[in-house]
Amino acid sequence: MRLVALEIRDFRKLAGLWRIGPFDRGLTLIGGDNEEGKSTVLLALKSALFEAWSVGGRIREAMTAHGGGTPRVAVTFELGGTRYELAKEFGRDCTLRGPGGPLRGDAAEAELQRLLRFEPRRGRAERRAEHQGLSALFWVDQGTSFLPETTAAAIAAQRDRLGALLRREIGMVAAGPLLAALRARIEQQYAQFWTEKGQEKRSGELAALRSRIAERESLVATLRAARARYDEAVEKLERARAERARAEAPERLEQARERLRIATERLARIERLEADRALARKTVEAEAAELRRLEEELRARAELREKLARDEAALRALEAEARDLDHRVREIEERLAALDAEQTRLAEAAVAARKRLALAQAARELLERQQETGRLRRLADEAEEKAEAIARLEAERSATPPIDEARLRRLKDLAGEVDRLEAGLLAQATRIELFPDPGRSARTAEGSPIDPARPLDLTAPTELVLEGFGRIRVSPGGDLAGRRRALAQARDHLAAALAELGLGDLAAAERALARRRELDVRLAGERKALEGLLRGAGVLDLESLRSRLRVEQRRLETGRQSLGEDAEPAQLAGASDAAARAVEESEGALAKVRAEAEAAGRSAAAERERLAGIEGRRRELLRAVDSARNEQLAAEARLSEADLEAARRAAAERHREALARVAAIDGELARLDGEDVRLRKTLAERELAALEDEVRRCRREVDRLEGEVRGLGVEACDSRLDDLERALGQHRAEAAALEREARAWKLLRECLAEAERAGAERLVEPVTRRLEPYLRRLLPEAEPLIDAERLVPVGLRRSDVVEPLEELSVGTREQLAVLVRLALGELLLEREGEAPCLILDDALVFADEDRFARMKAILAKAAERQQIVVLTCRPRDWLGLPGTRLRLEDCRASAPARG
Amino acid sequence: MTIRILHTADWHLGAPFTWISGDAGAVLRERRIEVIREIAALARARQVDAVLVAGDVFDGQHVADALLDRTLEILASWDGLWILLPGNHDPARAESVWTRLVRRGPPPSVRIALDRAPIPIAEGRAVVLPAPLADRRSPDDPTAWLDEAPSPTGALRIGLAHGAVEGLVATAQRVANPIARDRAARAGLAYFALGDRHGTLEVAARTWYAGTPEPDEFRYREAGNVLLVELDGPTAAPRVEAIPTGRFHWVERRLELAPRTPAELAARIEALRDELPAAPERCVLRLALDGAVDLAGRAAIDEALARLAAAVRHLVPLDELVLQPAELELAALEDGGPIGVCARALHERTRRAPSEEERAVAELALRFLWQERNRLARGEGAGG
Repeated sequence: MRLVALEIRDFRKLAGLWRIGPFDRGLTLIGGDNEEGKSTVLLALKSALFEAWSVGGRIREAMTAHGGGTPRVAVTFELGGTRYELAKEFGRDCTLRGPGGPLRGDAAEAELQRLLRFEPRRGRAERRAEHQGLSALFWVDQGTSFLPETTAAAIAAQRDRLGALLRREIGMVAAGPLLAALRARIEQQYAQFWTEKGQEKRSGELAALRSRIAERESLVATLRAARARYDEAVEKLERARAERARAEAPERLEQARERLRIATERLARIERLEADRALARKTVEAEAAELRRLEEELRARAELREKLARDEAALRALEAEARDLDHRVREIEERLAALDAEQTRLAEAAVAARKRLALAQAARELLERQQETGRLRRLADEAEEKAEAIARLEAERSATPPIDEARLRRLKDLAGEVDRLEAGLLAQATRIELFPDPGRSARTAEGSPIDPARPLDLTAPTELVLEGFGRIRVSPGGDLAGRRRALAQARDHLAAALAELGLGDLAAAERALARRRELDVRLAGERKALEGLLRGAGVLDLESLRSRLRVEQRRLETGRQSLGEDAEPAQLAGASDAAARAVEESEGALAKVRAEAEAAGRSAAAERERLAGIEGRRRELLRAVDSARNEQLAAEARLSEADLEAARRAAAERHREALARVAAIDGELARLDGEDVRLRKTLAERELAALEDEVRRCRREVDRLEGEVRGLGVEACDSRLDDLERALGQHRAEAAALEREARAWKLLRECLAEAERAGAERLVEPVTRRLEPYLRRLLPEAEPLIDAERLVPVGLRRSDVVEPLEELSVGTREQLAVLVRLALGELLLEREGEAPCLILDDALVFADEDRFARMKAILAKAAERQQIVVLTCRPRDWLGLPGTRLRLEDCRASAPARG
Repeated sequence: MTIRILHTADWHLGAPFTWISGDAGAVLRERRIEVIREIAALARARQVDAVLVAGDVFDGQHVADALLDRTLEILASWDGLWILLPGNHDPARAESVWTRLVRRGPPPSVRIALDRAPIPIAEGRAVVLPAPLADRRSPDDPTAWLDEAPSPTGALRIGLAHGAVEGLVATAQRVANPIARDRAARAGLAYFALGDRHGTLEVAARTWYAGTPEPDEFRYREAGNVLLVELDGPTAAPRVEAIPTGRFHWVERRLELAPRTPAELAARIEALRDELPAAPERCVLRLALDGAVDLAGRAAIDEALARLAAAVRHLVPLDELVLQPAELELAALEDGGPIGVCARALHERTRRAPSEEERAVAELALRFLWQERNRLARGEGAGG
């Protein structure tokens, strides 16, 4: 469709009559300021073509101009080379003039729909893309060109028309209802087996079959396991029976028994020989014992003789030794008697010397005690004096006022406060200076005279009496009353603090503190002196010193009494050294004599003990000699020594014979090898027992396995297994067939979808081919990406990087949307022989200068084949473009009718 | 006086036929029992001295007790002597189907040859020398002992064994349970009754395989008999009559198919009915299909096979047909749009599938596409 001219009257902003056009076959630029009505031009055009003439209600109200009147739009356009004139007066009339003559009203509307291929809007339905035909795609409202959904919705509305063109171009047949039905049928079959995501369904015939197969396989496995257990048990039973047969073989038992019998007989002979040998060995032992007894007796008789001779010689030697010892004892006893007498004498001399020494020592101690008592008495006297001085000083200190540094500072602070308040009060006081005439005077109200030479500082209302004048009342200003109260309060505090200490004023307080300090110094000196005296006496306090002095005096008195009334202590003390020497000498001599006596005593006792021992041994030897002689006589009387020797020789002969008998038996036993025979017998016994055990064990095992086999046979011979295996085989075959069928439907679905996808991609190719030249001018390095299904741009590919549409800038999106429309326009031009008019309302406002320049060039190029109308509020930006340029304000043909 | 015996073998009672599902399997299993009842009737009718069963009486050791009871009940229907020999499927093990059968108390007329001990028959005029198997597979000849087996003077010696006669089957592998081909001559047997091979065969002089009385596999065409054997003396040739007892025929056929019209292909399948040896319901048919067919032919074959399966007792199809869509068929799917592209892609997949299963899936998908597209084109709705 090509626009030729447009006439608008009383349509929204465009009140009055507006004639717009004629439109260029290429590019027409309509400039106008904001709010001037450019978008209304586009709306009026759309309303004329796609809104019913009879439309009413809100839709018509929205068309009506602000100044009133009936909205009317007349459009002259060409379609397929034919010119049409459409005049639509909304609510009143509609006329379409074409080659077939004028059509009016609904007939005109119907013809319009046929020509422009759009679906009329019904009632108050929302206006959609399909209600505007191709113009929905090619007439782009202000501010919508960059919106992907605008393009998508517009293309979707024309999908069939555009798709048909594209298919025609690539020689593809349109998918008819057959394909849809086939797809539905395949989907229906596919859905029986597969989920939407291509997973095998968990429900359905195949799944149920698989479930049944799994159940039966489990049961079959159980039953087969039972059979396997049964077969295994049968195998074991057969082996056990074979083993039992081997164990029960009679020759094995017979051979074992024969070996046992032979070993048993041999062992019995050996045991008899061993008994004989034991008897022979006892005979040998008895004969050997008799022989030893006889030989022992002969040896005892010889030893007795020798012993008697030795004892007699020893007895004689002892008697000689005893005599010598007795003589020596007597000599020692005489020496002891002499020593005892000397000891007695020396002991008496020592006692006398010790008495003298004790007296001299007591006298010395008495002298020392006298000196100590004198010293203590002197110290006690001095200490008593110091104690009295301290008591006096303490009494004096107690009599002074109890003032200290802190209290004095407090008094000074209070006095300072009084001074400060007084100064403040005086500073605020009213000073009255009187200069009376001679003879004149003044006095206070109370009558006290006032000295004119001294000024009066009044801090309170005061009445004065001026002689010859009368009374005068002076009232000082300011807060003198408060200052006076504060001063009185401070003075009260100072007075109270002084009274508490018993002081009259601050100076008295300072004197009292100085006196207290002096007394404290003197007290400290006295106390220190007293402590020195007490330390010298070795006590802690004065009372202890007094007590110690009393004790020393009592000891001194006792010492004098013990020496005697007449004794002279000094004389006695001088003899003490001589007494000590006498004691030492006498005790030394006594000790020497005593040691000598003790040594002689010990020597005498030793000799006596030795003498007693010799006597004891002599008596023993005497008894032994007597006993041996008696024994010799008794033995000889029993058996003579010659007879005893004969008996010994006979016993030796019998012993030899018995030994020979034992040796003969040993030889026989060695030949028979008893140990080997016993071992063989043991082995034979064990072998026989083992064989019998084996037979019993085999029999038990066979019995057990027979029971087990029978028990297992019940389950193993279950006929269900055959039934199950039959069913399983059938199910598996059915499942395989169903699985193949399922895969076949899936494959068919995938192949068909792939074919449809490939077709759709081919469909895109004509659009892409037409878009690419435009895009190269705008973005030389970019390739367009078009959604095969929806034919809408979905992004760009630059340097092999895919950039989705939503990630592109608004400007690029808008430019791409315009280019797609130009490409589709080309398609329509080539396929239908006519491109639709492209109307852009304030488009490309997001383009930068470079892009804008490129887009201008592109639109200029496109305008050579396609009609393009640009509505813009910035017509200067579009300078240089070929085509017609209109100013909207120049299009007004008449002013609106008033009222 | 002639000694008359029935020689049979390989009853395989309890064979599960797990691979034959549904009613057909049940009928075949039941038939294996019923044929024993017919053998008993035959024994009565022909007044035989004994029925010798040469092994594999039971299909396995684990047959159900109910089957044992039923077997004994059928054997009791003839009071003559049954001699049952353990074979490789039912060897005489320590615990076996035989010990279970013995515990159930078989009638005196049923003798189970568990040991290598002669069994006199016909009032001692003949003695059966059994060679029972104690294992499923043994490398030793179980009949070796027959050469030295004692027998009363003048009594005919009849061997009874189960195994593979040496040289009968050409194989490089060692044969299990081998039997010397000349055993009958070496052991002085008047007749050597064998079991193991399911087809009836005189394998050597006086030596016969009776075969199974009811066929149960496709290998042996000569299956389905029992042998009536008449022995006139130790040196006289036995008179052997094969008496048919089989009801079902196990038939194998192979069809090599090439693209033809659907009607021609269907007719090829239908024609098989006329080639069957018996009525279709008495045939178990294994049909191998080879070659290549187009989409329409494939559909026609599928329909014809469904009809054939309904007619025969059981159909085992071995379908190795390759789908080879005709260019016209692919062209018919060409719609200038996705359906044609999809059809070409699937066809390509059938040709380039990495595995047989992938190829089968792709073929099936192509068949679905073709069927559904045609159905929809005919105006049949999606719900059809």
